[in-house]
Order: sequence, then structure tokens, then C-alpha cells
Amino acid sequence: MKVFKNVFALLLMVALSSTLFAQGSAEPQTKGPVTLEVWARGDEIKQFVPGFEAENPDIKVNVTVIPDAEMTPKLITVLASGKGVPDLFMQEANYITYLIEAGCFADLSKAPYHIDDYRDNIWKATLDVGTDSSGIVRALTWQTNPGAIIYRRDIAKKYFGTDDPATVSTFLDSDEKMLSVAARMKKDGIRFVSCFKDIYDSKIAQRTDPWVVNGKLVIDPVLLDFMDMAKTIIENGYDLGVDQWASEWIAAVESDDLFCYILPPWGYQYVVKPAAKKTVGQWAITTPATAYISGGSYLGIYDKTPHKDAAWKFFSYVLLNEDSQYAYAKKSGDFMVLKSVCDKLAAGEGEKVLGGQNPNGIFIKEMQNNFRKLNTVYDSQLNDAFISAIKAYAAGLSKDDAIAKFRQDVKTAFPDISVN
Amino acid sequence: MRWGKCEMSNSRLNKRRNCWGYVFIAPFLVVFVLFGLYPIIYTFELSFQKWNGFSPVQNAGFQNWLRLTDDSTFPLTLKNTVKIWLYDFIPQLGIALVLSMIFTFRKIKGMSVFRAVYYLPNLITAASIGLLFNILFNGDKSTINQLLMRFGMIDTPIAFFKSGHITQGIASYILWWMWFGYTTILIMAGITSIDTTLYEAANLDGCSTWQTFRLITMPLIRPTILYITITSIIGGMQIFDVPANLTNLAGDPQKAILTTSMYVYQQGFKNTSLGYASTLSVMQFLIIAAFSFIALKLIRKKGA
Repeated sequence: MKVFKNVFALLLMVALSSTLFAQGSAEPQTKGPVTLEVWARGDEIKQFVPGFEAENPDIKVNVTVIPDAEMTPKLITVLASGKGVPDLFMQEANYITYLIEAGCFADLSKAPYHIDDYRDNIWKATLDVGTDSSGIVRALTWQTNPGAIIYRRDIAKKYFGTDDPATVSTFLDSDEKMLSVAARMKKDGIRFVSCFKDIYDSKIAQRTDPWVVNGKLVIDPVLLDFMDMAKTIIENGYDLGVDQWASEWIAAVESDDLFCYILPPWGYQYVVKPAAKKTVGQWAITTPATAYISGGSYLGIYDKTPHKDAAWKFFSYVLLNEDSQYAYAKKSGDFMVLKSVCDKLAAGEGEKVLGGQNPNGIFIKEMQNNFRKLNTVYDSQLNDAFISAIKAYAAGLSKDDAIAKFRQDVKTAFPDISVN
Repeated sequence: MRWGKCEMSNSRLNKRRNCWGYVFIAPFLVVFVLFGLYPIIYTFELSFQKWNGFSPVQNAGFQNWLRLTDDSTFPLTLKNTVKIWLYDFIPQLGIALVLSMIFTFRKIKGMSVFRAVYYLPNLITAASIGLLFNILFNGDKSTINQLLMRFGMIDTPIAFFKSGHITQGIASYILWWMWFGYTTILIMAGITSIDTTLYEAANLDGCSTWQTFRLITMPLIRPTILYITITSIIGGMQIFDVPANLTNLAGDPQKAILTTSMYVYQQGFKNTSLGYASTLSVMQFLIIAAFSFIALKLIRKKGA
């Protein structure tokens, strides 16, 4: 009986202890097909997986969706231990420079990767964002993001007498004209733009210098001027009064009191197109006052992945394969990274939601502009801090105090940056 | 001699029993050391280092601690945290006391239903509740604005999340709503454990309800109140999910709901300054310990 008790107790202890280590007991895969682990910031990349797996039966792709804010903490954890690091991972354009400069992405010009073979067919501005400070390409997005005005045709007819994209853009080609139109619309209870941040993204691209030059903070005059424009928009209720991606911001697609979203093609793909039901055919796209690019989901290959060849196959299928890019764009309405695919899309049919308009010609024209490379590792935090300063100014703080608050926030977040 | 043998065998038995005790607590101990004690010690070590999570760790000496003395955001986050916690805790304790008195001493129809309903919000994750209240209050067309306008209580929508005071108030309200049911149940358990003969004696001596509450109930549930207060301080000083999901991780408007835990997260994972975030965490730990100690002394002193 005593022996039985001892044996039972020992077994119980082993059983309890083994549950602790159950997670770590899985053995690494040594045989069979390669499984690529991909950490993505959204579901879209999953659309490429069935086609890729059909073409490459020996490679499986496992996509895990992780929101932007959680990607860096999770990467820090796995990179620190060196275990569980995904073969490929993604981040938004605002955050990607940090990861690129941190050196965790592979050099895509070196074997077994061959990004240089595709250079001529990739939009330069998109390639620039994924290139590190020493000129090495480390990440790329499948989408290209020239800014656009996505507006309501019915409201345009009422205020401009036309809904023709080329003519509508002439009514909105300066800040003054936009504010004047916004004031007219507001009298009838119509909000001009979804969020002042839509316009901020275009202003960020108009700067001469990036946020930090030689360790010193640079607040471009374009942004200082925009503070006044944003205050006018917020105070007068020319926007919806909520942040981008708030439920009201998305719901406004179906409302009758919003004129436009000023967003890149992803704004059409993720916001307008899926939400439009009764407003199908009532939307159109035209060029903004100033050309800019903004956003994008950048994908890179982990520098130390043991599956280099398989990772490159998947990377090139998603980003550099004309057929898969074209199929994805036809379904989603996105504007792609390969120029040849964009040309093909521009020659194709129009979008139902846009009343038959094919906006790809407009996007191609926008991409002919020269865009400065202004990315820094601080972009995400500094943009958030500046937006907070704009809100504080609009809420009643003086402009000088709001700027001082911004400088203080930068100093608190990054003591190494000289803010004066 | 016989007695001695017996004593010796008892001592062996005790030793054997003690040995099995260690064996049985071993799984917990292993988990605690790996996931509790080691991270605490490592956080303390990191507070003297510079690390961005990607490059090698560098020794920083007292640099992070000196940075803390010059950081104006940290005291602000402490102030916000204490304010949100106090506006939640004081009404929470007051209402829980009243409800537990009613539920314990009055026969109320459907009492168990009420008790369950009051406890329900505690079962929903804080992140979901934060998002839910964001939908209720955010924007001109938010549910609350629509209701207030429909009933003619306001003419123009209220920008709730543009006012720091209102946003702090909403955060406190959510925490109160989530936790008052739990506190009520704990106090009821405390009251139920009081010997009923004390109440009978008080009744015979002609004590009023207020006197019974003040002189019998309150002193005897003091250990329960102490437990609630200490655990609330520990939890309240680490508020994260509700304010983080109510507006944005920056604690807008104008950092009104930026709590200390949110600030630690910001420094650690947004600014990737893990060394400084560890310094803030250690400081937060010391402050919570100090607050808990003060509360312990105050409540015990009052009971002496």
C-alpha cells in the first residue's frame, strides 16, 4: 500500500510537471515538406497562399496575423531567444524602417535572393521605403500607395456641377480651395473629409527633410502650416471628429454627409469598397493637391531563416509574380508594386463601386512624380506625437505650447535626439 | 525507551512528510521561479542596462535612473493612475458595502439574480469593454450622442473624448462597473462569517441598524476591507487594458488617461527602450509596495 502511494505520488508529480513543458516537447521538423512561418499584419496575404501551395506542393505556408502594435514586442521576444522567429514577417511602412535598420531582414540582392532582376519593373518610391540607409533592399510591399481623393459623385455634382474626376480635382488642388469647399459643404451639414489625418499624410510627404537629421529634430514648415489648417478643420467640424479606423470613420462610407476620404489605393480596397452597399456606383477617384505615397504592408525575409530558398519562392510569388499580382489586384482593387501589372490593370475594366471608373491610370500618373525618401526609425512615434500636438492645439493650447509639448514628448521618448 | 523509539519514528515520519510536501509544491515553484521570480530579477538587472531588443545589451550604470528624475511624463502617469483608481475605488467600496448590507440583512426577491448580474461585467475581458465604450462614446454619431439627442437632452453632439476629465471619468466608471459586483461578494462573505449571536445581543441591547453596522459589522469585516484595499491598490496601479482600448495607446486626449503601465509599454515596445521601461517598472513596483504598506498600516491602526 505504502509503495503504491509513493508510486502514485511520483506519477502525479511527473504528470503535473510534464504539463509545464508540454509546449517545448515538439520536435523540430526534419522530414517532409517545408513549412514557412509568416507573421502578417492582416489577412490579405492569405489570398496568395492557395495558389502558391498549388505551384509548390513541397512548401506549406502558415500565416499568423499580428496587429502592428504587437508585432515589435513579439519580434523582440523571439529574436532575443533566437527560437520561433518566423521565416518572413511584415510591418506597416511607418514601422518598417526600424526593423530594416535593426538588421533582422536579409539582403535581397544577395544569393539566393535576386531582387535586382526585377528592379526596373518595381516602382522606385516603393523600393526606397524597403531600402536601408546603406542602400540595401531588405523589404518590399506588393501594393503601391499613391495618394488619392476618393469622393462621392452625387455630392460633387451638387457643389461642382460635375462628377468628372479630372474636373473635380481642379476644385481641390490647393489647401485654400479645399477649406473653401469644406466651409460651403459644412453649411449643408456635409463633412468635407473623413479625418484631418488624411491630409496630414500628404503633408508628411511634402517635407524637405526627414524627422531627424544628424541626431537633430526637424519640424518642417509644411507641418507648422498644417497645424493651422488642421485646427480649422477640427474646430469647424469639416471632418468626422474621429480617428482613422474608428467605427464611425468606416460607417461614413454609407452615410450621406461625407464628401471624401483622402487616402491611397488601400483606402479604396480596405475601407470604401468593402463597406459600400447602397453607395455602389456613387464613388470616384481623383488626384490630390500634391502627389504623395503613404503606407503599405512591407514583407521581408528573416536573415537567419533555415528555409532561404522556400522563403524566396514565397516572397517572389507574392511580390514579383505578374500572374499572382494581377489575380490579387482584380479581386481586391489594390494598386500593385509591379509596373507591368499596373499597366495591365489600367487597360482592364473599371470598378462597380466607382461607377465603372478604372482608377489605375490615375495612380500610374501619380507614380511618375519624384518622391523624397524621408523614412526614419522614429516615424511611427514622432508622427503619433505630432498628431497629439495638433489635437492639443485644436483643443485650445497655443501653437507655441503645442510645439513645445511635441518637443518635450520627443525628448521623453528619445533622449538621444536633440530637440532644440 | 519505548517512548523514545516512538518519538524517533514520529520525527522520521514528519521528515518524510515534509519531503513529499516539497515534491508536491515543486511544479508551482518551478513555474513561479521561471515566470515570476526570474523576470522580476531580470527586470531589475535590465533597469541598469540599455537594450532595444535587437542589438546587444549594453551596461548603462545609473543612466536610466537619472533619466527618470528628469522625466515629466512619469509623474503625470502616476497622477492619472491614482486619479482613475480613486474615482473607481471609493464609490466601488461604498456601493459594495450598501449592497452587501441589503443582500445580507434584507430578504430581497431574486437576490441571487441581482448578485449574478452585478458580477457579470467582471467576466468580460477589459479590452472588449474598452472597445465597447469607445463605440458608445466616440464620435458625433456615437450611441450615447444619438440617445441624448433623440431624447432632446442636447442639441449638438458632445465630443466626449476631447475632454480629459470626461475621458478619465469614463475610464473610472468602467472599472467601477467591472469590479463593484466582485467587491460586493467579498464583503458579503465577510459579513456572513460574523457570529450571528453578536447581532442578536445587539438587538436585545436596543442598538439601531447604524450602530450595529458601525460597531459590529465594520470592525469585524476589517480584514476583508484590508484585503480588498490592498488587492485594489495592486491592480489599480497597473491599469492598462481599459484606458489603452478606450481611446488610443497614447492615452489621448492630451495624455489624460495615460497610465503608468501604458507608459511602461510605450517606452518598452513602441520606443524600444527596454532598459528604461524596466527602470519605470521597478519604480512602479516600489510605489505600489509603498502604497500597500501605508494602506496596511492605516487600516490596522484604525482597528487597534
